[in-house]
Amino acid sequence: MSTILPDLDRAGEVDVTARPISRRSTGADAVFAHGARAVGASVLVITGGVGLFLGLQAVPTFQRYGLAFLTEQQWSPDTDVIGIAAVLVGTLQVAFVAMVIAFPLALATALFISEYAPARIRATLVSLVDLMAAVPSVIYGLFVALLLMPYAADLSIWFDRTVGWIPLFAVPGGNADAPLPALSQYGFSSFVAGIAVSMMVMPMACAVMRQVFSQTPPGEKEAALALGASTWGMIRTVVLPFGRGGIIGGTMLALGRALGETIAVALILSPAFEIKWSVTEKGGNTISSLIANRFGEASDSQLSALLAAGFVLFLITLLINTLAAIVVNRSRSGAETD
Amino acid sequence: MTIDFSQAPDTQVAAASGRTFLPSYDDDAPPIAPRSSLGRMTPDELFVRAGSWLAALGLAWITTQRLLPLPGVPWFLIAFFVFGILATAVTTAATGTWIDVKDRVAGAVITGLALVVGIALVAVVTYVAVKGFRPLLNLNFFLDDMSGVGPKDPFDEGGIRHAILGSLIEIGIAVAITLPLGVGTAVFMTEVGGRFARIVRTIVEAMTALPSIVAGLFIYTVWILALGNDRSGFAASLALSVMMLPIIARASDVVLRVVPGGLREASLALGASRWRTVWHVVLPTARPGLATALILGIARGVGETSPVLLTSGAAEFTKANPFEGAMNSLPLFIFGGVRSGNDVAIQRAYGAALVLLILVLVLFVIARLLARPRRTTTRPSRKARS
Amino acid sequence: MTRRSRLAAALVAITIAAIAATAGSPATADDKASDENRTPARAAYATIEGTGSTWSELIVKQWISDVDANGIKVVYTGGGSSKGRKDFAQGTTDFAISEIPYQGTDETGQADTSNGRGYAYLPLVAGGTAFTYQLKVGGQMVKNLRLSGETIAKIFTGQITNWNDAAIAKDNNGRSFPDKQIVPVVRSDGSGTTAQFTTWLDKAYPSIWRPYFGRSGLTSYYPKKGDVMIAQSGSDQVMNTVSGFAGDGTIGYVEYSYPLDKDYPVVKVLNQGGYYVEPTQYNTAIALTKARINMNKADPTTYLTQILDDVYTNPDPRAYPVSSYSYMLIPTGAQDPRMTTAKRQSLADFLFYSLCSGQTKAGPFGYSPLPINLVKAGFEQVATLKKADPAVNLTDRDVTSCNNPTFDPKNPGRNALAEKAEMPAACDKQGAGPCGTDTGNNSNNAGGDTPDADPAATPDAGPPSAGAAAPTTPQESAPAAVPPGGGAAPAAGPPGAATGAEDAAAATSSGDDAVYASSTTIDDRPLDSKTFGIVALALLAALILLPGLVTARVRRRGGSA
Repeated sequence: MSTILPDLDRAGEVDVTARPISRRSTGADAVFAHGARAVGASVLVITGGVGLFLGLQAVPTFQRYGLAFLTEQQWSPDTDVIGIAAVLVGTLQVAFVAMVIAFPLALATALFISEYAPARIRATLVSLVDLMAAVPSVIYGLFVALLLMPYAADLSIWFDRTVGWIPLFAVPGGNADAPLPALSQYGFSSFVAGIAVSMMVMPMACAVMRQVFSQTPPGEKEAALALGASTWGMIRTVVLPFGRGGIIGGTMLALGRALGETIAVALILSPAFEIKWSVTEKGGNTISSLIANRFGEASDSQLSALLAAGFVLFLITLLINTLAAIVVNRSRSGAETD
Repeated sequence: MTIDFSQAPDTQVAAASGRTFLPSYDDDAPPIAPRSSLGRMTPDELFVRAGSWLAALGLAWITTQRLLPLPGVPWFLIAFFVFGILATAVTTAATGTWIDVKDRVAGAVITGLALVVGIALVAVVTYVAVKGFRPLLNLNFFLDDMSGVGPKDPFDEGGIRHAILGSLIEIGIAVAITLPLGVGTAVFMTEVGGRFARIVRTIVEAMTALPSIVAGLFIYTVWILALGNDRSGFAASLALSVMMLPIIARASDVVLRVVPGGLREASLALGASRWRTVWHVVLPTARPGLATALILGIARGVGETSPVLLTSGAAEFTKANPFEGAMNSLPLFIFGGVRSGNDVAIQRAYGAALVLLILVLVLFVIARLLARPRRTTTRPSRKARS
Repeated sequence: MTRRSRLAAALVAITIAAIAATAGSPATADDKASDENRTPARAAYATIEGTGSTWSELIVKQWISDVDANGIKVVYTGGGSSKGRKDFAQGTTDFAISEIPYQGTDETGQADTSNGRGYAYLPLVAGGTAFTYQLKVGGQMVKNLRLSGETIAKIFTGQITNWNDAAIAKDNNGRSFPDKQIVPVVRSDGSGTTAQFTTWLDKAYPSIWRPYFGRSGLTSYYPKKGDVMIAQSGSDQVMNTVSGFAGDGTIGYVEYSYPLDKDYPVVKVLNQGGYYVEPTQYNTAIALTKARINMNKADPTTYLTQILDDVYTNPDPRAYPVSSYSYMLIPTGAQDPRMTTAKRQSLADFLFYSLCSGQTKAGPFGYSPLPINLVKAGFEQVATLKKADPAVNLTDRDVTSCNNPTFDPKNPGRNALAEKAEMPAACDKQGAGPCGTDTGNNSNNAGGDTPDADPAATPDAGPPSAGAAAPTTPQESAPAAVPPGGGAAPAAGPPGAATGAEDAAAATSSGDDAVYASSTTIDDRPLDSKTFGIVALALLAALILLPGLVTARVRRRGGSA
């Protein structure tokens, strides 16, 4: 065997016209590209169609009720007075309570997993948090509605007694100073619903935060420790600033989920259509539980009103998710520079 | 070898005067301070820490059970936590610096809150298990359905076969719809690209924000009311698909995006066509990630109650045909049972919740196993890095 | 094994599992079907679906599980009468159950019609809207509360807000209840129960109801006003709230079957005859003997609907005033797009069971069986299914083969149940008692469920012997001035708080289960103990924590010096 070297002199005799190079794909590739595009287009049609449909359905509602739809508190199909002011505020209240509880827990858990836990159980802890995110929401609803609610009601009474002058904890219907306050005024509240929702969204926020924390450049962490920083000093000066995007983004993602949670809220809240400052007072409503409770008996115009309410909810979660995505992406791009 | 620091002031003076002094070494001198072990706590430290929490235990007991009218375990735990942190802070301050105090307190708070989360998870699982194991003791709970079983009949009659089957069928159809579409879209967005792909990505990302109840309401309005179809298992599958499609597409997109470009380029440089590159290089590389994304999507979908509530009725009997008539599913069965307020029904609901929890757990373990980096060393795993 | 094959294997495994599960069940379903085919030949059935009232949901659920053995598959989801009517109008269900008929058009122009779908009303079951409550005195539940209709109306319109109200004490023959807020629990969804309740309020107590409601008439959506009232969706949720951990002081309105199911007490309501009665099947049946039924066949939208004005004022001492019928809506159109022969057949046979044998279960479940005239009319309505589709087989399904407890075979014109009904115990008479027996356990009146008891009791014959009808212990602890069965006015001078307390003591000491009204409240912990506790806590904390802080301070100063 011998290697034949190309004879350079004969190059001129070979056809030297370059093979045509084109970005246009041919044959199987063309089928692939077009097939993929078709799939993408169909998904676009499906998902975009849902959004478009919701938007279109909202139009007759706004025509019928006008802007009063956003300012009216009552949802009274009997008298054709329909508005989502109260449910919108209720939705925000439940989500607010959920985030107040979930945020510190998620942050602490993420820090614990990434900085404090022994390395050998770290993977297990990550799995446990992910498992917590996978537990169906109806089970959390069950847990809170049937087990935690009495304790939460006691806590609400205690709040009313001690910090009742804050409107957030004042319960007008329940006389907290009486020896036996009416317990019924303290359960079924946004506060209790918020506890259930916080259990659902906490793992979600925690997962995002932990992921960002774990991307902290080890060099910087080690440098801080080598300079004599304590663990907390290292966290405060390196991990938290680096993970700020993840913290904000994870929280907002969790908030987006908290706004749309249905079943746990429907199991706990007693429906009431009024804006109330207090989160510990019984009664309240969220857009999603309104839909779950009222879709069945809705006439055409009410159904369109429910869809409009759903559309408003969708817009809010969309806004929050988009902001969260921007923040998280920005923080991720920072991670790649090291 | 020890450095005698007592010489240090002189050294500085000497340095100022421009002369070099070598520190004098005294090999016999005792070490000034014992070297602190970096990994382990000293007995002192251990005593201070454990002692603080023991003290907190006693304080909490006296406070909640004797001094203040705050009976009950929750208050005791809260007091224990607060006093433990206080005691830790004080004892640390007695021996250490302000920085030590902050470090210890932060550590205690973070560990405490993480423990709360751990306890919450354990409590949920235990609670459901304790409340729900009774019906599970009877085999007929899995093999039978609720047809012909009255609301007050005992556990040796009736079961949740219909709900388990309904859940499996509904989620199966939803996966059959979302898997090809979702992964296909992800492939389109990452491998084909272009301006149109960016639009698709934007819309898909936006639609992950769609609350599940709105997905259900959409199918209810369009499929059931406008098109005049029955409430059925298939309608529920459609609602679940609308909810899961953006989630799976987006998760797959993320997974495909982290496939190293080098692999693609190598494949293309070897002369493989694009679809061969996708089929033989990109997708196999991303397989564990895709499987995880899919199974987590399934776990999410199988426990989702609200879309199912609107779109499938709740039949009490086993139904294998998803295309006509009401069909039950596990979350719906749980919801109905809990609401009914009937003791037997509630216990059955807990049993179903336990089954659902186990189902999710199994799916979850499968996802973990699939996502685990392979042991074989022929090709270094990319997953291990992430 | 390559990665791909592993993934494929996993997917295949899942698919196989799903298929196996799918394939397994039709086989078992077939087995069942073949089992059933050995019993008498029957027409082909198809699954029928319905939604609607939660008022009658419990008995309908029981019927559904009963007819399952015959191969009839029925799905019923509840959700409220308004939902039932709406689903039926939208053509997504095969039947609906509702307490009230389609309201036509309300004053706001909102349509409440069947959307042009042909239908017929059919009375399904009778029952009483009960007022269930949770009221604890000294940690024990009160189970023998009595209220007049007016008091109930005032409670649910926010005029009476405390259990120690004089009106409540008067209803309970002078016994006052503790100082505790009344929390009415109402329905938040569109509900037939609410409609029945507000119809009663509107007809019987317009002067209380109308100013509160702001207009006259009934409503399906209870107008929740004030800070205290709690709204819940569905009878089940109302019942859960009342019986729940926070139920103390609550009162809600649900069908009698719900408290019965939970073993919860119900209010004995004062009737026109001057007695406080519980909505048992007998008392409901008696009350409904005065119900007027719209017999105008020409107008199918109102044919067979109920007019209950006379029920509310039924002078019989056994009558429970808030009694009513529940209705099923069945599709009658021959061209109805949802209906098939098999579905009509299922519906007809389900109804045949419900109207006949099923009615025997009504009593134990807290409902009341239909009388013969309504069953007959019901069968006429079922016949419209055959009119719509001649293939429906209705042979052997008529009144003569009907096993309904209200029928007296020897005397078809009479209501056997109403004649069996016992007279209320003497202690239930206005101004007497109250009886010490528990409510909410389906025992008829005070004497217990004894169907073969003397049926000859008539209103003016006086109450049956009190000794037999009511346990003796409560009588002993009743105010001494009121002789059992006396029915006289209470003793001179209404018993004050002190007497009430003594009564409670007597009731508990005598070991009887009944809890009597009393004004005893639980003493609060002395307020100064709290202040003392806080001071003690501060001192303790200082004692333990200060040395450490001082050490730290001293050490740091020493260190810096």
